[in-house]
Amino acid sequence: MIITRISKLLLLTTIVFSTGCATYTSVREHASLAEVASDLDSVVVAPPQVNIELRVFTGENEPLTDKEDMVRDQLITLAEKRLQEEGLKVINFDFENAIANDEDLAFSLTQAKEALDHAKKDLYSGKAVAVEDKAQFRASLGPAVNAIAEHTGAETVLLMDYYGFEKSAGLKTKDAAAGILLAVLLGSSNAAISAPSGSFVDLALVDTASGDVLWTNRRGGQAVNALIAEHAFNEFPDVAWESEAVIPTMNTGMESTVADSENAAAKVIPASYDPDATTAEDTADTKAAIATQPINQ
Amino acid sequence: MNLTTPFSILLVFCLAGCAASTTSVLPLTVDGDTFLVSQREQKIYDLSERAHQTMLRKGLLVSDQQANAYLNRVGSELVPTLAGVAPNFNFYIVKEASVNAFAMPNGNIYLHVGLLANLDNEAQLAHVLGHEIAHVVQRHSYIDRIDTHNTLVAAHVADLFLFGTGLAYIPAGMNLASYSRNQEEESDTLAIDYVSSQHYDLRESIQLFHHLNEVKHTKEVGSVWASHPLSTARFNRAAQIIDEMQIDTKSGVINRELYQDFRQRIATISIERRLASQQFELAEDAVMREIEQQGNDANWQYYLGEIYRLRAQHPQAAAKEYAWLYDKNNHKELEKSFIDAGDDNKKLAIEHYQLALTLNPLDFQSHRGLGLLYIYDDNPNAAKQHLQRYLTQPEKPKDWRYISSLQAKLNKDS
Repeated sequence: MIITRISKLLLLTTIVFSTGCATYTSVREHASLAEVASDLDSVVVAPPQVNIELRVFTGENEPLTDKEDMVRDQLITLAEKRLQEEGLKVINFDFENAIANDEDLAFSLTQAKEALDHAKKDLYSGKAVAVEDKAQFRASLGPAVNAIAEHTGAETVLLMDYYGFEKSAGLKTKDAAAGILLAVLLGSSNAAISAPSGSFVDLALVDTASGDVLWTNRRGGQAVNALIAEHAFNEFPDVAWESEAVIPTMNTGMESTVADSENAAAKVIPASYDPDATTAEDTADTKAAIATQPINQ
Repeated sequence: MNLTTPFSILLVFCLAGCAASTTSVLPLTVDGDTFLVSQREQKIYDLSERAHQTMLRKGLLVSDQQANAYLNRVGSELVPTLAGVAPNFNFYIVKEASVNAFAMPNGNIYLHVGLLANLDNEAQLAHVLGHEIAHVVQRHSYIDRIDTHNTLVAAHVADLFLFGTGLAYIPAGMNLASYSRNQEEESDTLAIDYVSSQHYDLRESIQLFHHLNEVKHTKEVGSVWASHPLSTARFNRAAQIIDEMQIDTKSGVINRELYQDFRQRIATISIERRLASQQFELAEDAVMREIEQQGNDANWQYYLGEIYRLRAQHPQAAAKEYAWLYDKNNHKELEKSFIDAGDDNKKLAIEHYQLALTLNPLDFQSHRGLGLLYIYDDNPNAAKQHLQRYLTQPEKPKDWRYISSLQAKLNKDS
């Protein structure tokens, strides 16, 4: 009897939660993504910003550099594979070497990341966004990413930011002891113990000419590896990039891609200019962040 | 009931059992036999090097050779005679607009462009450098590390008995924040000693505190010039020390011209960084300071145009900055006032851009500013004209792709 009632209650709770949660998304897409995608065919993966630390009892937290290198490599490999699968041409560019020899490029990348941080404050501010409203944003980084196009020739760039932590054995023991003490005090059989590790990733695909943030997503998890990025990529937009657009040829009826065609039309730069929408902006070559407002507000 | 009191008592109790002594940490000037780099200190040296490499990789350090040579010359002369295996001192300029400087325990000293732009002469620079050198010489980071360690260990113990509620960390945080005051005062005292040994005019050390007190920088996180004691108190203290040291303040090196040559090389970085952070009022202060120091020219008028244009386009950001600077909470009201001032700001922006073009008809960046302003003002024809003018400059601008994308949008729209 009791079990049946609990089962019903659980089922009801699950339904309420699933209907409630399924409505919202962490994905943000540019309003004109579908339109501009057909003019974009290449992408370069910028070196991900990866910070992973070991939290220790003494407060002298240590960077886990080996793990950072490992996750950085995993993220790049994963991103290149997934972007290729999505139909974009992945441009291989040795950023490490280029940055070491070019202070301006290094600073440009920093400014692009700063501009994205600014834009994300708007993209992720306020109310949760329903799935049907995810493609109504007009965030732009302005000219902050132009230098990336200049150096790599890529039409889009993927920016990634990863943070992770692991707790030392001492800290885990302390957390466990505190949880158990609390449970004993409350007479509960369940001890709430804080997570021994965690990670968070932010991904953004940006048009290197207009600076428009075409797609962005974020994910958090407990494992410290690139798996959360894999989950974030699962919500990559299903649009037709120029590199996968298919056109029939005149005489043979066979098909070829626009990118392969010698007569491919000149690129048309993004459409749907809306002077009323707040656009991301610039100044000189450093001005970064620009306002990002859902156009329906 | 004041919750922090019992926790503080608990902390003190715990600290009595846990604390490692910081009194045995000797300054780098003491005989070498007594100075050994411990494993923990080596760790903070390694972290310092890692932080330096990160700054390099991010392109955050100014690479201007002349500016760096000048800074290193002034800084090196101030370093006292060191003993033992003391680290080498190196001085760097960071592309950050906040009025700040910091020292790493490995002897690397970093000065933000925002601070350098706010100094008048070499004597003032010498005091700032002396202050930072003193932090390294006195091994303040290491001492701080030990203190932090002791406080956090005690907080963890307290937290355990408070069932992991996190409340124990509140007094720990308060305790941590209070440590730096003595260290800063000690650094100020030593800075006066170093500066006087190089025959700089000590009146400029006092002037420095006056001067920094006038700058709206007190909200900037981590600003050593704002954290404590208040500048007025620091001014009084510095004057007292100089008096006690019976130093002749009537003569001494100031080197105003040499310093102005140096700061001119980095002045615009500070303004551009302010604009990138949407700090319009602070950017305006920086521009006005340049006009005062270097005289009016097209470049400064262009930046004023930018400030007014961005204020008009981003009233929310302007309101946010204002609230932050002046401790205001009524964001909505402030935002409305900046929206209401939008037309005035647009007019002022146009005036400044046009003045820049009058002063220098080849100031292409002002055409860019006008183009962007007219896009915002829904005047596509004027926008196209100015953006085209910007793109026709002899050297291709770095942001030609962005400007071209705007042109394409305008063309499509028309």
